[in-house]
Amino acid sequence: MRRAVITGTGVVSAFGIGREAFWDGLRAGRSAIGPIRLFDVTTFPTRVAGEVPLPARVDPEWLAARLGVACGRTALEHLTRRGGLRDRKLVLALLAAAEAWRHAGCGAAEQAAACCLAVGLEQGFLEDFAAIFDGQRLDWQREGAAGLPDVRFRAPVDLVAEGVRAVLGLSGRCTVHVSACAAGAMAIAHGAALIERGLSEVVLCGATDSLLNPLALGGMSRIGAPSPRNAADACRPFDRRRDGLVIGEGAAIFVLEAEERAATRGARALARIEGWGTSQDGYRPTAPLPDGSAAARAIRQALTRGALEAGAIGYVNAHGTGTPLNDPAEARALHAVFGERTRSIPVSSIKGAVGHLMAASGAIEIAACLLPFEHDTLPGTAHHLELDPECELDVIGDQPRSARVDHVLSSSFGFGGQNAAVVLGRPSCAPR
Amino acid sequence: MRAALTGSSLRTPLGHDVGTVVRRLLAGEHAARPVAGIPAGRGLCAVAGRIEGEPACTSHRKFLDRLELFAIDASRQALGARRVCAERLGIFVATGGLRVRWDDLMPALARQEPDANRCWDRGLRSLHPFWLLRYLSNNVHALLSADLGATGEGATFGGANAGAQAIASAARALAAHAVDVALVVSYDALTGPEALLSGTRSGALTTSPVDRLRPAYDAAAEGGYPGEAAAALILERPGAEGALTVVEAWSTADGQPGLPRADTLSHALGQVVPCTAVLVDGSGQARPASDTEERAVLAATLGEGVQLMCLQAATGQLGAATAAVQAIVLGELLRRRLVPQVAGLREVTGPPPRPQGGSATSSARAAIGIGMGAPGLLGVVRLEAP
Repeated sequence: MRRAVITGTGVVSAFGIGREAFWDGLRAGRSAIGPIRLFDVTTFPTRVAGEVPLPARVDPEWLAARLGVACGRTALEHLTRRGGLRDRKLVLALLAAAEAWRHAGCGAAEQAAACCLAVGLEQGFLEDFAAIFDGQRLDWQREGAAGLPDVRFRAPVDLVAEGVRAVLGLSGRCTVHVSACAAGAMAIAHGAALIERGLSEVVLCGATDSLLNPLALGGMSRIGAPSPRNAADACRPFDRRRDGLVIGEGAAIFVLEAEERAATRGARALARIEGWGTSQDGYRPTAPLPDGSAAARAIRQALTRGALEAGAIGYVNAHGTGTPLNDPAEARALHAVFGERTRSIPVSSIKGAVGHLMAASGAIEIAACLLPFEHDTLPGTAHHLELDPECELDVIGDQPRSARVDHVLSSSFGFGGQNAAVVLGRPSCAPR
Repeated sequence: MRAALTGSSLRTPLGHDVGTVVRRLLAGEHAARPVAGIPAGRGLCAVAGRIEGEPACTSHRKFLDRLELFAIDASRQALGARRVCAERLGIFVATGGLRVRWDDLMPALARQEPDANRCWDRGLRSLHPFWLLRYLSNNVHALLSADLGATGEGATFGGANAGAQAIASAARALAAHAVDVALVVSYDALTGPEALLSGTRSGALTTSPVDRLRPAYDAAAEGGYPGEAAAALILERPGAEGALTVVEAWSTADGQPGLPRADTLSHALGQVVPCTAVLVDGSGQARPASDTEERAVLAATLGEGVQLMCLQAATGQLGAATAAVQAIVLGELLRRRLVPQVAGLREVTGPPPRPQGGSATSSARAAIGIGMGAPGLLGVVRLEAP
């Protein structure tokens, strides 16, 4: 059976630009949560986040120098003219995609690659509204005559995919996943499916998201999902004192290719995608199914697809939002799948360290799942101090744990009850 | 991957049931109407095809906008009284992207300044607590799965060809026996002011008033007009009892910033099972150069004898909803053995295939629907009489 392997990874997170910055941060057990600096949040209820250290206004020259992708200058200029670089999701994705592409050693032979990307909510640009606001309404005719950039008021849902494909010169099929916080994992699962079914040889897949703009932060603040404490330890997954999530932003993008193809061209496999599964809670749009049964089904599907027994899993990278409802439901899902063995499987969530990347959370967590294979290190759970008895798990504390494991599980649960699970395998292990 | 279409429902600017839509198509009607508040002749597209009436679903108004409610309506109607094991029902949703609800936003925006300073105090604090939930990209998916108790596989796709992606994904899930029944829901609205603006700027939309509109494949066409639609398909494995048609879908993209290249369409149609008598619903760009190019590809790949119609000349551009609406309407036309005229067509030049100047009978046993959108996105659906 054809299997997909990861041969390149690019990550942009609150730890900085690049996968090494991300992995170094996790290996050191650090947290990158801090005050939001992008805009004035003085009076917002939510004032901390996992903000990526990027300039507030990204200069195309600055970006081009970091992308290091010669083929994409014309495309980058086009995106700049359209105003696309104002969208942080696109900038984050370009940085991660270019890094993944370089990491995998991809070139002209890979440009027929398919593209499966996940993005989150589109954003509005407050400064644009003021320009055309006329008393009580927006004057669209004035806007029509203004000749301003295209990407205003909202970024097209496929702008990121368009930008990434244009800058890297990709020509394969293109899919955009928008299944909320499960979207990143779904995009990667989709990429693996394209390879397993022989529909693509190479797929660039992953996710990007940023809620760090006034409208989105305002909306998140109003809904009350973020922790009310504006402290660096605002998010404490599986902790008895947890009281909400902390917003993050970033991107994680991967090059997947057929295992045989990677071996033939001498590309190093970082992990094998063993299986994946999706399900729906069918419960409420605002809360997870408390017993975790639907999430458990997604995990079981992933194991079944990978022809793996539950006992094969040596580490779980949990969705672990640090919200009162998510964590116990997730713990129940894991118990439903792993039974008595659950308490002996190391579990961690990186959301305390980098924040909740929303649509990109599944993707960056899969990037974290490469640490066990690359460095025999299981990431820790930043700010987790005291286990909630409702979450009876072997939660790794705020420092990483050394261990050698061969199979890891990453789970993602989206607002609205969409669930996704992905199982990765150490590439040196024989495929099932 | 092929799937049997065993149920469907739609909400379009031409009507809320396929019978009405087909009747109005055959009569050569179109749904373009002036857009309130945007006078013609001011450099913005000022016509649109809107769904008439209001959605029946009222239970989710605090989360969903009008079009999303139409999508819920269509889904419930398509499923009807069908009973499906919750774990075996998959939901595959396609949306063109999030659409702004300006009435929601105005109180929060009215006092903002360009520097965004103190923006919370200047209005964002007045956002409704559910504001973010209303903009959740998978709202329809979430509420449908909750309403139906559906817990099977599923995903939500975004973008202009998301409808074809959702159909293809559902067909793959059926083929893999991951689900037994797939509900495919597609909806999109290109009728908001910001969509009119970006469509006009890109040259995709016409600035002509309603009385001077020319449709796709007309030599004097100057661009399409925006529409909106919601559609739901019930798909099962081929051979299912009660199949209306057999459907399959492809989606692709070629990296073009605008519409996909002709060779991308040619390659996609090359994968379609060949057949001699074909009814084709063209992408309906209403730009003479791209229309001519599309016709040339059709002639080269499917033959000069194809019967060429254009649904979106009558409904307006349907974005992510295109493929699902095409699947329903083309299936019905195949069943009735009819082909409708291109609404408003007056002057056709160039080589065959000629677009339908009048409604006629058809011997086609297969139909192909083409949907295109920027950036370089192509969706193709193929219907076959069972």
